[in-house]
Amino acid sequence: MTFLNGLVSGVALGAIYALIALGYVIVYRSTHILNFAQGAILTLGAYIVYLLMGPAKGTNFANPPSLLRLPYFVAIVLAMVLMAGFGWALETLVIRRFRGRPVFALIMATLGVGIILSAVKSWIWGTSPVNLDLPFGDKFFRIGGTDGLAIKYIDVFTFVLVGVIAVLFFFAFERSRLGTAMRATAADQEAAIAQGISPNVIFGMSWAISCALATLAGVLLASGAGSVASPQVSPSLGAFALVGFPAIVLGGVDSPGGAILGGGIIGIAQVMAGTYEPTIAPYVGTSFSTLVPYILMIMILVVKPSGLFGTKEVRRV
Amino acid sequence: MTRNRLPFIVAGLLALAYVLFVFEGAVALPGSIRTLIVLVCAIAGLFWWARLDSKSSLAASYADDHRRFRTTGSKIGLGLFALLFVSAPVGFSWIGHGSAHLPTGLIPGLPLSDLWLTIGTFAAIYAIGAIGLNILIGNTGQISLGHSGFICLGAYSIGYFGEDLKIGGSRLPSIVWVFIAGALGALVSAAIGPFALRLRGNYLAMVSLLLVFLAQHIALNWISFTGGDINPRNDLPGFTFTLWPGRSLQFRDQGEAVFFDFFFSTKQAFFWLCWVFAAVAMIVARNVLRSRQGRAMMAVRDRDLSAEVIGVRQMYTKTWAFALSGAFAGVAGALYASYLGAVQPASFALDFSILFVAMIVIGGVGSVQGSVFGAIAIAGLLDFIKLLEPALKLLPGYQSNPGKPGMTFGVLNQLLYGLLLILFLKFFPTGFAGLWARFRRFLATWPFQN
Repeated sequence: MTFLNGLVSGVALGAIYALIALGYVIVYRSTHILNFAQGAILTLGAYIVYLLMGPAKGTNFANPPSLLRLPYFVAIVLAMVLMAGFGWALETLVIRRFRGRPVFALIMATLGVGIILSAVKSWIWGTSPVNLDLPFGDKFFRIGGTDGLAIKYIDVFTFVLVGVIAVLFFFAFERSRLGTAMRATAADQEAAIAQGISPNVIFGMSWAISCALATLAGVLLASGAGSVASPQVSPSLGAFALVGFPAIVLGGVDSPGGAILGGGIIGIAQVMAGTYEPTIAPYVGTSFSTLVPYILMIMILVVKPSGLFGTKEVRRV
Repeated sequence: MTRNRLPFIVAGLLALAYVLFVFEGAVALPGSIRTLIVLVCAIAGLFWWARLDSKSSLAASYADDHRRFRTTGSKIGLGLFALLFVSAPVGFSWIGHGSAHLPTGLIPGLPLSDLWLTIGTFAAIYAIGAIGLNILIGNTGQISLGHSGFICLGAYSIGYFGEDLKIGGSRLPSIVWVFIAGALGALVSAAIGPFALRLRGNYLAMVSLLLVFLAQHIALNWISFTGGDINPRNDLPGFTFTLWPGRSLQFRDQGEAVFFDFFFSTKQAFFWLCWVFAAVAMIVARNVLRSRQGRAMMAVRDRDLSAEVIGVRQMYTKTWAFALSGAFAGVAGALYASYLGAVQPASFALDFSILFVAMIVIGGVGSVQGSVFGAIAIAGLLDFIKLLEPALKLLPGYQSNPGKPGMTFGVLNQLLYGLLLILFLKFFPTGFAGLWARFRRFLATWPFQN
């Protein structure tokens, strides 16, 4: 039963990691940038949801500012749209200025954006956590009697939502005009330009999609999915975005399918490590589960550096 | 002709004004005008120094390239900086043994207050770490975000080698555990070298994240040694330097340091100590970069494949670079822990690594002096903001309560830090060091701009 319970939260957590990793892969494929600002963007997205739906009922004293009191689902959709616009603007105004610069400058630029975003966040909302009005709360249903498998509604919601998004994404990525243009740009930028595809639009779109996905991941984490973060909007949510890096390395940095699978594997492995570590290996320490993704990353890099589904890097002399 | 003499005439006049109005106090002037004169003199001095330094700053021969000081200006500048650092904690009163020959107000702002001494000490410690990281990132081209892991290692290592370990009932000398911390950092860091052989760029940056999390995990969970985060270890040793048996300089234990018959506060003493270490680190780094190994590292940075073709062993060079940067980080960590006396695992998070990378970006990637500039800039940032408090109050949402919504020192510090990083990356990718080089070149070719 412990195993099944762990599997359920692991799958939910993995679904969130998959969203984050998908965001990384989309940006990496088109612009070859590892977006170290994703953590700050994810947290900003969660705060935007708070801005739109306000604090939970009964906690009205001394709350940081919020504008509207929209229902949960409406607020999420609206926040994703807003953050997509923000992502586009970010690419156009900042990231684009660094095009063609060395890898180090790109990493530092995204880190700098992340630092500024978290400063702006603490400027507007402070650093203490806030509660959202969650439709699911931590309600759960049981399968198999009163002491059977407990499944939280938010976990089911997360899993279904991410599944739908993944299917939609792949459908759009393979079939739609924009998806084809994105794949073409990733494959060969010059050839894509020759076909009339504007790389600027593609880059803006990939950042927009990535930011929208990060927003969704942030609000799902803040709703208690995966049972890793306390169900609150707080600056510490950003730390989860870093786990997206092991996920994309596991799946292959340029493979969206790999990102989803890698996110799932990492999520399940992390929750399993957290569940079984106290009984099997108490000597490795209580926070060992935070290390598990990185250990998996090192292992896959030693065995297969291009990841499970990544294209092998060709080095030209 | 006039072009060559003019700056010297101006400098001479300014020096005269300085001596007359500020130093001798021959003419009583209000404080603000005195400060203005000092400021103008400082700027003029900078120009003068840059001009001297700019002469033949380009290496035209191998002999030139191998010279430690290529210009007279660099010698004078170094001497002035050394004088400034030696006198910063006490002002210039030490020259006349306090017999009021040289007044303390010779340079406004000196002696430094305790606050600025602390900042200066941290700047020195950061400079040591940043020099190490700059060798790795700037000169070898291996992107690492794991630097705080090695600093963590160095910091905790002094808990064992400086405090717990007793040989024949007595502790190891301080200078020994500082070097042990460096050696440990080098050893562990060298283990990353082989990974860097297979991974580059983005991949290496991602893998280096593991180091931060691993170090933090160990520091959090090895409670019997580090105390975890609930009850962090607070018995890390201060610095003791034995001159001869029975006579030693204590840097923390008694709250004050004793140099012969002079008494200094811990803060003053640690300022000197850390800057001495920083100076040694600078010299070591400069020399390494001028050696065969240093050239090999730069060849690997520019194109590792071509480097291998001309006979540079990639594995060896990368491992060497990692070991060197780890050694600097270990020493920086040991000094950091020794100064603070207590460290928490939480202080060695990823942000601490990013801080060091930001220092080398702002200071100048690949430049030893640049790392020091960057360290001073980053260490001084927060307290520079505190000086601006009247202006800060005009910002929307100003309040002084950290954690609540609104503009606080911490938030503004973070905001400026991020902005500085982005702006330097975009507009001055070579950092302060590059700006200084441009300034010198401008002066060297003065009427003829390039």
